[in-house]
Amino acid sequence: METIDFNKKIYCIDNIKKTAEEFKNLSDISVKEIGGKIKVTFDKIDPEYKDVIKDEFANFVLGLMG
Amino acid sequence: MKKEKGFAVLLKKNDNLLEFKINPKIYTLNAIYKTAYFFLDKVYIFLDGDPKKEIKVTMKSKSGMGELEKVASEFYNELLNQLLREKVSYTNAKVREFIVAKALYNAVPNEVDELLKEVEEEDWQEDPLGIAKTWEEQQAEKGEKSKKSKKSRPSLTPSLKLRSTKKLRPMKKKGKK
Amino acid sequence: MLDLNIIEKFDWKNIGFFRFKKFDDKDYLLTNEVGNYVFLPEADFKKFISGKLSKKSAAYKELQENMFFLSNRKYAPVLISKFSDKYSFLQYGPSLHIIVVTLRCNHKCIYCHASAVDTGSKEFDMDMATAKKIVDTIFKTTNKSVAIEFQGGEPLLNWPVVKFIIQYAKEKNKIEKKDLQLRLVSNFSVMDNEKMKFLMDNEVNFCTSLDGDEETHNYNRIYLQGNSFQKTVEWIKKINEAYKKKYKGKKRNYYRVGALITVSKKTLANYKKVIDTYIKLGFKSIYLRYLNPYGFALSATEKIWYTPQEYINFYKKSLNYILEKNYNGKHFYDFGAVTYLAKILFGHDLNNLDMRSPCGAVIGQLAYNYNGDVYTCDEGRMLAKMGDQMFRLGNINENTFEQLINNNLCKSICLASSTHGLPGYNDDVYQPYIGICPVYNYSVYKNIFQSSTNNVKYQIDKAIIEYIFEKLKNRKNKDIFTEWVKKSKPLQYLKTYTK
Repeated sequence: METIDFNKKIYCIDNIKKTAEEFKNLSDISVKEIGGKIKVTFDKIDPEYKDVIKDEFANFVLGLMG
Repeated sequence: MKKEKGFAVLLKKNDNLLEFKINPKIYTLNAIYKTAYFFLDKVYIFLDGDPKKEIKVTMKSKSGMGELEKVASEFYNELLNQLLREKVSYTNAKVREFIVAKALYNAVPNEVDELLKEVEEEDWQEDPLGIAKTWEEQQAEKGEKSKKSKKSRPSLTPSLKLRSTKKLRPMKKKGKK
Repeated sequence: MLDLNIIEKFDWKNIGFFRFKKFDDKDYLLTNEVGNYVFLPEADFKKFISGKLSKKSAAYKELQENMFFLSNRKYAPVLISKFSDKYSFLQYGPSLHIIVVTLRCNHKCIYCHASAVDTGSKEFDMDMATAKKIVDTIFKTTNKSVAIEFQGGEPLLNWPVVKFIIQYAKEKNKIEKKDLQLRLVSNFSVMDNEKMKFLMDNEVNFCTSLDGDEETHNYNRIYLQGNSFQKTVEWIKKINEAYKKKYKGKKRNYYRVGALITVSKKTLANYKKVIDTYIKLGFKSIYLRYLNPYGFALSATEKIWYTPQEYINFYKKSLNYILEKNYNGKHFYDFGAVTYLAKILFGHDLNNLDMRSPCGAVIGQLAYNYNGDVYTCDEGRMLAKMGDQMFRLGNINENTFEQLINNNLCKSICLASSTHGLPGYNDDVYQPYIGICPVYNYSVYKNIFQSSTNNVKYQIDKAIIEYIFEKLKNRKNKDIFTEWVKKSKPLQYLKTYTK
């Protein structure tokens, strides 16, 4: 299991949810708001993408913010 | 790269990971987003920090080939470009709205009439967010609650004045007032 | 490079909206909302943004003439007028109507043999009732100009329906009084004197597929009943001769057969021979556009495909070769370059529908399949041939014209292909010239709103525009480019698309 904590003041939850939808075939993904953070949890990650999924996910979200 | 105002390389963790901090009072969060957008194909980027105080950027190499300091330097150049673009866009937003509305007037007369009516209700010459001011001016104003007179746009051309308005503002969607 | 002190001194009172980029070691390139451009050395650029540029300097005058100063008294009136002209197409409805009268074809071209239908399969022909409904629908467009283009398959294989549509459209136009243009895109393999006479008598324009010299053409376009190149060339010559006779001594003597090329891997290597063949046959232009990744057989990939960089290199070499011909007094141009140049030099959009923002899908063109299915554009129809009906608007027998036009698909495509406001495109110095094809985005990236990052078409378009600007820095080239736009046949033809 892997997690990313996005800062709510910087990242928009709608974009994180959209990204989770795009990445759903690569992993089980949950998105939860905890305090000032948006916690994204990746479970059952496609082994082929295990090393890059967190970074790719964060880049995808940032692409939607621009 | 050398230290630039409001932009500093914080820590080079290793060849594949670099962190730097940006002063969001000089470089807006929006400019940082747009700058980051241009580098997404080259590096992984993660943002953290406080948009009112300091933004921390973590940059990770995709290829594992390093050269992150060079990319950080390019990032800074692009950040400056974005800052200028932001100023150009912001200070011209209302004039652009006006030009587009007038240019396409015949296509949608009712909507443009509404727009022109709306813009007449608001002072477009103001600079409420102070985007046209320098960082020093903003800081100075914060301290002394500036007594400076408002800066304003030059007058519109005579022909433009006759046709419409002293004031313009960005278009609003119906029902969102 | 810029520095913060300069930016903080931004002369916001006087400077109008512009986009910019560091173009090369020496200059910045600036463009404004209507496509005017100026190259500024870095020192002048810094002076410009900080309001320090001398009013007596040449740079200041150039910026002033090209509407970069808000303080210019003509700024708003000129920009309103030019913007209105540039986007005038938004005020009209679809003008280009592509009718696929049959899917049957007698060629087995390497790039589309999977979707071509055997000549005996008449169930893939359009029937008269469908043809009539299509013409009735076409005339409901709000555009004063109507261009009906016959495509296929090979349209002449369903000659009775082609003939009927021409006659019915002309008859209907006696009442509707549109500016009606008729065009046939054919490989000419089943053309005969009778058909040619009928088409010329009814002022139908001819366009054919010509992939260049005999070797390249016949490699791509396989015709089992003969030599495709020779057949095509024979009719190009014959029709052009007939035009000469018909319009001898008259003003309207600019008619000649038009040609479309499909740039395949073979073209890349043979670019000189391809261009020479076009010139030898009397064509004034060629359209060296990148191959669309749909409507083709996957098995043909290796034979036809090339990398984006290979294409860009090919385009640059071809443009240089064409310029050389012009240096030697031959007027010949690339239509893609002219499309960009018309926007760059004249602020005029030629309405090349897939190089426009928003693109021409639905609001500029509609494509009608043999069975009455209606698509946003020909690209959407080609994608449907591969089994994806994403861009199908409806069917002529089931939907009204309003339903075909006023729907969420149309609105989404307009949004997705409008470069204003889209990340990456919006800030691009080339924004005034670039176009987006949502069908391309969807077919390659499965998203009509594909971002500019890593978007191959965007990278190619940008590279081409950039190269054109590089060439524009040379005065001699600029004069030639200006002549291309002024003399271009498309300018005379496509003008009607905007009215």
